[in-house]
Amino acid sequence: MPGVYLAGLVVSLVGMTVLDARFRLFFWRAPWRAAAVMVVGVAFFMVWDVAGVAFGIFFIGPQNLLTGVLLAPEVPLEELFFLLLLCYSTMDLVSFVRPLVQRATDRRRA
Amino acid sequence: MNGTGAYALLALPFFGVTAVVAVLAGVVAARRARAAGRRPAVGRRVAVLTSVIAGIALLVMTIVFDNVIVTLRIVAYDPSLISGAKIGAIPVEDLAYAMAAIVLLPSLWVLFDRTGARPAPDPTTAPPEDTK
Repeated sequence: MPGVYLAGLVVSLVGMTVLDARFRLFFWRAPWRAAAVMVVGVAFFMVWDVAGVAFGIFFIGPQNLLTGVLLAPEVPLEELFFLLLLCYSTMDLVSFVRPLVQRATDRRRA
Repeated sequence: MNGTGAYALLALPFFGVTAVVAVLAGVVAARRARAAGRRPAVGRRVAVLTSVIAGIALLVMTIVFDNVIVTLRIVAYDPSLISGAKIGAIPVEDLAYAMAAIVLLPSLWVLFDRTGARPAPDPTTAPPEDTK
């Protein structure tokens, strides 16, 4: 069913946004700073992807789950959403874990 | 680029960039800590420990997610260009993205902090309530 993967990615991104809003992790902490991290991060991984495709290391498999929209040869639209999810998940995780580590460190030093 | 090392070798320049950005972020964070009268070593410890813990979680999530998309054949690999070492269905080299992300992105977050050397309290590091 075409579009299933994209739908999954969008649902996951909405989940990340809800967590962000609920715990004030990333965009809800510093929106412009978060946007800058996302833009540079996604661009960085997109270069990595394009290089991998150019060397023939990975490519789109024989499936029926993508929309078929391509950003570049062997780079589906979905890859952009995947990289957004990778970067957003990473920063939500780091923002969630950091205060816990900080508190544990403070307690030990107190 | 040819041979079974291709996918692993591809990660090297990206790890290099990540390392440079991380070192820069470390230097900037240490300078800010000193300006605010805090010990840079403590902040560094917190940052490294955070990346290790969040990194383990991210690797687990990556292994699950990538196994799904590889099994569904959304992505496929040229078997002659990967090492052949696998975790389930995915080449181990796939983990390089998550490893770079957990170091690069928090480093960018530090570098993009425009609040300057002002000793503004970090909103997520509220003072511990249980301080006596």
